[in-house]
Amino acid sequence: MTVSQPAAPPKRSPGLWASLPDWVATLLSNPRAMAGLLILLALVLVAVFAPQIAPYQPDRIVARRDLPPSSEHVLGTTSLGQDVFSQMVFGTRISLAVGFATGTLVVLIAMTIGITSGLVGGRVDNVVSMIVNVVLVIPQLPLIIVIASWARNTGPITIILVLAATGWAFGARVLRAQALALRNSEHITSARLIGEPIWRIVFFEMLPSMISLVAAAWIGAVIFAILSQAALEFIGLGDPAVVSWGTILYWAQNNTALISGRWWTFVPPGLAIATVGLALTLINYSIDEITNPRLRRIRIPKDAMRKPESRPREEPSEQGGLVQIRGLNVDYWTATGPVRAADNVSFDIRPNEVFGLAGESGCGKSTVAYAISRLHFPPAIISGGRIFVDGQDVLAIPDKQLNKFRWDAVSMVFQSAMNSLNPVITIGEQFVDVIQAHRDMDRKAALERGRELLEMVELDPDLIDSYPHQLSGGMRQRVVIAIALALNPKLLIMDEPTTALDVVVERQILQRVKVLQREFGFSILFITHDLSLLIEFSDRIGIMYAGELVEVAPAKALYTDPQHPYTRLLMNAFPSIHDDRTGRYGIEGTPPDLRTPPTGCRFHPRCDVAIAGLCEVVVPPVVSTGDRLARCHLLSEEYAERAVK
Amino acid sequence: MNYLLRRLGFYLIAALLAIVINFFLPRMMAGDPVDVMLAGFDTSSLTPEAIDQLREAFGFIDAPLPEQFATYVSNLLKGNFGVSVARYPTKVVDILGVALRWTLLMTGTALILTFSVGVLLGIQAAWKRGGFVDTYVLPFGAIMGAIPYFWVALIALYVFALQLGWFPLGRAEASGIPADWTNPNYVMGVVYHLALPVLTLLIAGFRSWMMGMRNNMVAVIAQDYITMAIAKGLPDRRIKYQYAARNAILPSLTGFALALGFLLGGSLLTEVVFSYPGVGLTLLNAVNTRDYPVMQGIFLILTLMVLLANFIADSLYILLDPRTRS
Ligand code: SF4
Repeated sequence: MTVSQPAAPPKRSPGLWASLPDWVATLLSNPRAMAGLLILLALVLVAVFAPQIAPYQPDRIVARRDLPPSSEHVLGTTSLGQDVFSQMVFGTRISLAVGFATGTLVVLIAMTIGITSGLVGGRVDNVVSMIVNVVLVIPQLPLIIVIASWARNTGPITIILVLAATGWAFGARVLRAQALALRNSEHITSARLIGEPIWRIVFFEMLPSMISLVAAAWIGAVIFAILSQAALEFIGLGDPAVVSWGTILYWAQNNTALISGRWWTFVPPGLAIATVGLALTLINYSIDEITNPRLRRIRIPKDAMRKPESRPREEPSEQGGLVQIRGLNVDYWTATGPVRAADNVSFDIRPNEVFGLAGESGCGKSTVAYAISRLHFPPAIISGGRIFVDGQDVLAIPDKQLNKFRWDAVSMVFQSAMNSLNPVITIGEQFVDVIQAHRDMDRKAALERGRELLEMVELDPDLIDSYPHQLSGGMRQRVVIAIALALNPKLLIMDEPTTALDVVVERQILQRVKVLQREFGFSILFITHDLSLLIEFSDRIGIMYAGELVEVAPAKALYTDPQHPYTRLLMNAFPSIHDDRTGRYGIEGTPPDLRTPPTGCRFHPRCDVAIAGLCEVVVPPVVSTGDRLARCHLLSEEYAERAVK
Repeated sequence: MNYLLRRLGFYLIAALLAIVINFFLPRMMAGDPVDVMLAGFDTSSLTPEAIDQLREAFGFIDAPLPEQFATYVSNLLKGNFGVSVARYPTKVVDILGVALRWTLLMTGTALILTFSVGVLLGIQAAWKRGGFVDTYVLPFGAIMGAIPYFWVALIALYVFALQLGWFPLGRAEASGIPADWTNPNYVMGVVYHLALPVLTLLIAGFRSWMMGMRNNMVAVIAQDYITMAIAKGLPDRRIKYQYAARNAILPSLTGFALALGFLLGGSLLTEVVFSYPGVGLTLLNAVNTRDYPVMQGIFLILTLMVLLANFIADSLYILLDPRTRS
């Protein structure tokens, strides 16, 4: 589990202006962005009120030449005797104006080209993106210099035009990619279908979702423009009569200010440029964080992060299973606090058993599986409970020894066969590394073992030299299973291992796994939302709902006599063939938001036999009878007694 | 292979575009190099024929545009980039020859350094979220990205060369030692003169690699194969480099062109600040004397070199990504 989840695409088109406040509010609540905006505002004010702020005219000779800073001339004087501070103040005008104007022009060009190309697609898009790439590959500064030098008059306007002509490509590429991604989104497709004009689609459907990218592109372009302007003026391609930060540097360089140690002429302009850059970078940084949730950081209080090994050790119960899970809690920390994804989960997996775990997506079944291998990383935290595997207190293993424990006792087959293998190294390497990490075996022997394992999962052992992309999805999943069995683990976790595969391949693979399980005698934790598959394949089954385990029973008993109303509904909503890959069952309603789970029984809003006045108030007890247990008021003795009366 | 051929085609198109720009710019603007050259002189002594001859020397023949273009391209193919205006009749190629070597040395060294340092820091920043690199080096890099390269160079020169005297004030070779690459003293002198400019380029330029690598790493770390690698109990180092970085570096190579362009621009200006006798300094002189043929020659040669470097990066990509090979 990683620190973040991809942002959900906007569900409806919010319209350009309606979407702004939300986005801006997020930005403004970010202290870094706020600091950036304030600095920028201050500089704009300096530019606007330059005549009031500057003590002298910038180009007037007001004192002796090359005076060091004094109370009279805060930043000294130039080699002509002009006041450097006044030049700096007035220079703000030109430098900011060129920066903002170029930035705006660049973004307009980039938007027009990028969005049109991404939206229209097809051959136009191919040609445009090639042109964009060609422009990007040509080194920019030499190009700018050549163009600028031919344009005889290089005042600010020329500089703006030249920079816009050379700087648009990067923004165009970014915006095109986004437009391309949006093009296929639902509401754009439907808008095109009902024949909305292109400009309406662009302005009312696409721009709102791209506004943060556009802002980032603008900021990037402004930085580019201010830096390039300074560079051009520095080497003498600007109009030296115009007072800007770049020309101050130019004159400093020309009058050998550096060698003579007159730092006051060349340090301030650079600092000023750096300040603008800093302000813009701060804003961009924050926009980045807003648009790329992976970069967002979530603060987790220290005491929630306490190391599991600091807990007192405990012994597993004698007659329990191979795996004993006791009162397991897993929290996902969000910006608004922890969300409990697995709540007080307890069950056993016996030796040699296939234990199935089912439930709708988001119910916490994978969360439990990840906890057994200690694969939760902040912001997911195992906040309570115990897990024993073969007598070992898993949550008490110190971090340093975790690597020894993983895969050796518990191995795992992940949901997407396609992405579980490292695409850039061979299958063989991926056997060798895991074997050598755990066993004292040389490379040759490890490869031999790899071939053997491939044969075990009915693959050609020569595949050992291939790369993952050369195999089909089913073959890749077999490879993953082979890797999972490499160390003869006690428990094999299979987390929706066949979701991406077709039914026939799925069957074959599962049958093979079952054969191997009997042969080698390991246990399996099998997770799926496909209940029919689960019943066929498992010995015992647990059903989870909204982070809680609501029923555990032997597979047959669960099938013939489901006790929990949720299980019963799941059974009735059985997809006739297990082709339901969407993770949804035909049960009314949706799983609850775990940030605010329903009171009483979490299932009560969807339960068709809920007892009014009880289920929405009182948390149902866990009732165990013989080999099974369920969490429902209907099964409790108290209720039965009351019902009798 | 198919992939490489496609890239090659792409670079040919890019080169063609650069040539077209080079050809049309002077023809679009008012005046040609000869006007510039003769601007300050009394031309009454020159016959019109002489002036035309001069024009021809610069490639401005009296012919329809397509024919001019053909002549221009065929000259280029022969390695003829024209003659300098300011130092007429020295060939542009001759002026660039020596300078190009110094620029290659500086940019090449800086490229290798910024790339390795930036990529390593990017890996570290993404791997240890909230660690030192993530918390301090990353924002530092972000700020450096908004400061002009040449200003960093100015400050470095002022502080470390002028004030502290740790480095020479400019030039590329130690004075008094004849140019001889087998003489260790000479090589030491070259290294000594190269050190500060390259260090400033490193300080100002490592960030573009670092940011890119960090973002790629963050994306890769979210992939299932990383989770599986952790579940496999592999040593941290192996996951970090063989699983995460090895995949994250691929997009970095695709972004090579952009980063190299920035670096090249930076090193041209750095040369100016350090009076380093490379193409940047030549370019500055050409700008000051309005020596268009030299400017254009520099633009074209630099473009071709950048394209070549990109092609090398693409070949590297093939070595690193088995998926492009099939
Ligand atoms: S406790 Fe009540 S609401 Fe919950 S499942 Fe049982 S009957 Fe339904």
